[in-house]
Amino acid sequence: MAGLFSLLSGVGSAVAGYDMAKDLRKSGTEAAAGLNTLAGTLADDSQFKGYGVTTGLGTGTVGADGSTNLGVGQDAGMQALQGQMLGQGQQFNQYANQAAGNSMMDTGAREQDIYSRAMAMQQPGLDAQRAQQQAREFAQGRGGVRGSQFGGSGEDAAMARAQAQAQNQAAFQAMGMGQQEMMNQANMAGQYGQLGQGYAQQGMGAFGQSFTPMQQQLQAMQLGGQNADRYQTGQLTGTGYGAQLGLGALQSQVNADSAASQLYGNVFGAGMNALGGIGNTSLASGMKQVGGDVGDLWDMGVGLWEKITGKP
Amino acid sequence: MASQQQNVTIDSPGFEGINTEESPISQQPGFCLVADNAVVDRFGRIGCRKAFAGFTTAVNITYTPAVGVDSTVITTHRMGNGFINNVSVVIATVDVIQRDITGTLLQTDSFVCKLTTVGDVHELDELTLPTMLNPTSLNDAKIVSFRDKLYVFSAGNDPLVYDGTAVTNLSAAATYRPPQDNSGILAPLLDGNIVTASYGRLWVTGVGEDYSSIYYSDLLIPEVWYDGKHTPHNALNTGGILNVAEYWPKGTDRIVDLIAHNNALYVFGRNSILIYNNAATGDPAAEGGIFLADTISNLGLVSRDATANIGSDILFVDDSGVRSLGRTIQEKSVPIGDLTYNIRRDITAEISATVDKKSISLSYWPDEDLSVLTFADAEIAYCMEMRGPSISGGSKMTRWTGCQFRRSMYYEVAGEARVLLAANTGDGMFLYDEFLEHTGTAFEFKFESTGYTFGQPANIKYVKQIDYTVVSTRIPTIGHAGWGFSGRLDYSKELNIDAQIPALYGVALFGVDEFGDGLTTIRRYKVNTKGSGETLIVGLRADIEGNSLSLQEINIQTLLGRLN
Repeated sequence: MAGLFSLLSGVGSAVAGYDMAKDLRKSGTEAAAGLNTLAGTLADDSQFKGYGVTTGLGTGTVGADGSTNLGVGQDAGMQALQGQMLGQGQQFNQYANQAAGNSMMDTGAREQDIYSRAMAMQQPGLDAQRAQQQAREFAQGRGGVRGSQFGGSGEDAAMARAQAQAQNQAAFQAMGMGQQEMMNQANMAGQYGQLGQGYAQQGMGAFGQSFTPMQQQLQAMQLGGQNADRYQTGQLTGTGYGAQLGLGALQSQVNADSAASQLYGNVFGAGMNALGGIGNTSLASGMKQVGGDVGDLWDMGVGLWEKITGKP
Repeated sequence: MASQQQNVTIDSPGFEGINTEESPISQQPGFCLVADNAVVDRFGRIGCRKAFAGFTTAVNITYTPAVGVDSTVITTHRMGNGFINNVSVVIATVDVIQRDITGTLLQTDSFVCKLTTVGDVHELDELTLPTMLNPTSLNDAKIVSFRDKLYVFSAGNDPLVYDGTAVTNLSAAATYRPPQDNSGILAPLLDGNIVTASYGRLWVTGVGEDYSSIYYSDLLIPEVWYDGKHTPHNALNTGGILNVAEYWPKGTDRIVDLIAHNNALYVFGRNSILIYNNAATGDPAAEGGIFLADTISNLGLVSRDATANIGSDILFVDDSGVRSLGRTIQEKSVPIGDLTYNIRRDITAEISATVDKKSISLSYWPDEDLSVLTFADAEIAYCMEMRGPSISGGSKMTRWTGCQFRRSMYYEVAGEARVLLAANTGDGMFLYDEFLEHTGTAFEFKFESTGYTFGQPANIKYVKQIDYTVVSTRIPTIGHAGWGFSGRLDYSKELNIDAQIPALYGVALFGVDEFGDGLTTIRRYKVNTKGSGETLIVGLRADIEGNSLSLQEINIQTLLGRLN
């Protein structure tokens, strides 16, 4: 008997070892499944949920996938102002171009025009002077005098000289005024250009200012993001805790299974040994006791996991 | 019973000259009704004039006798004198007119001649003339002297310039610049014949028959005239044009002559006078230059040569007689003198009767103190004594007959003053000198007093004797005493007027004055008279043929009868 017993004990040990291996494999599988489950749970729990920010300007949202919707666009008033400014700027630019064009025109025609007007203004006076001159000449009997040096009389020449000087003055003044007008046109072109540029800048400013609501919304969303980060942090902390606890539970389960298997192996070995030693029931009982303890430990680990993750 | 015979002495009868304007019986005895071929002599007596003596002995001109010519008249028309290279030169225009037996004009040849003198022989020698457009107008040429040349201006002709050697046209001068302006040449030739050379310029009108415009040359450059171009040839040219058409006080007139006097230019029209002052300025056209100072209406000049500048005044012949402009231009108002006031109607009638007014001329002979108004066509002249006026204000007038000359001209040569007369007898020139006429025949001195009433015009005068105190020289002559009571000389008686023969005293003593000291014979010639009347006229006439004669006094012995 002893040899059978030893054979039995050996077979029993093999069967027991096999059975323990199965249990351990099972435990490992379950642990892996639990981890997968835990991972899935953690993945779900740690996933970014997105957030929204509502301001007086509008409601901006950040989706779970990160997509951002400011919910606020460019300021239409500013855009309109930009258009208005640009329009006025263009108007002044046209003026500037026109004035610049004027400033680059030939001054001759304008000078002639100014000269003609000046002479037209002088004409009544010149006519009166000429009439007085003729009257004086007639009174002196010099109306019929023609000298080589004067063409007519000396008075005629003096009058002609004075008129020529007046005409020269008018001509030079006309030239000066014409050129001054060109300068004025050039200056006006510059001023109009500056005005146009100013309006354009104002339009650009308005254009830039039209983004102010969006900037402000972005700033609000940054604040919202910070808040979302806080929320995410809490979320991730909880998830970490859950993961740690889940892992601990699994580790406990694995440890328990390992211990149970160890214990079962030990027990089954001892029985087998005892079988091998014929009869030692006390040992089998002791093995049974150990097995019951390992089962209790498992149950406790599962219950903790559920508490952490909220999932069965 | 008749009253006592009275003796009335009339000193220097007729020395106031002719007066036909006032009543004969109310005149001063110094006036007379007739003073033919008389002058007022140096002693204030009425006496005979000098002779129109022969001067030039030949007129050396070349002309072709016309076919069928019956009469040929050589006339010296105009004379001019001036210094050329310090030599006194006389030139004259002469023409030869040939007519057939019917008086039809066949041919006229015109010349400019120069007076040449060799010793005491004077001749007129023809000067070679350039081609002329209108040579016959030389008979009314104006000859002026300017800058060592003589200029002959005649109507329609380029002025002739005589430089002492040759006669050229003014336009032939290389520097000639006719009046022009930008429209072109105003007058290619200065072809007027009313000219004065005064104040350093030539002043010409009648250019292109325009008698309203006066062209004046550049200062001292007679070839350069008005240049009114924008770019004149010479910027210093002061030539010009003075148009007076608008200034005639009566609206219209035409220039008859130009006279320079007292810094003024006197523009004589036919019926008005313009006085332009300040004509001597550097440039008349310049400011402050020539100007019209005064105008005179209804007085004008009958012909171009009927003016005379006597230095202190200008005499001119108006239709009313010989007038004078006072030298008071600056006072604006010009006093007008009437030299022929004493014979105004006579002279007016003579002027009016003269068809060709160009035959009227006036000239001043300063060495004789005479101004002579000549009516060449009528061959008479009126002589004005210039030393002083008569008591009426008019000049002392006498009348000359036998005036066979067209013009007279006073000039001085080699310290000798001469009066040349442009003969119309073919003799060239006469000389107013001595007492022997160019004809060699006598001329008649003739005097008639005004009517004498001796202060009692209503009483009948019985004139018993008239004594003529006569001053005579050289040669005895025959005189005729005359008297009358009916306004004319009803009676006459011949007088043998004695004279000392000058040969007794040497020739040189008689050359200066016809009434020279120590050579005169003063004698009283008594004439027994007859007849009676209220107003007595006394006369004397005498032939002058180498002698001279003056009437110094008339002594009248008369009885004053009852009132008539």
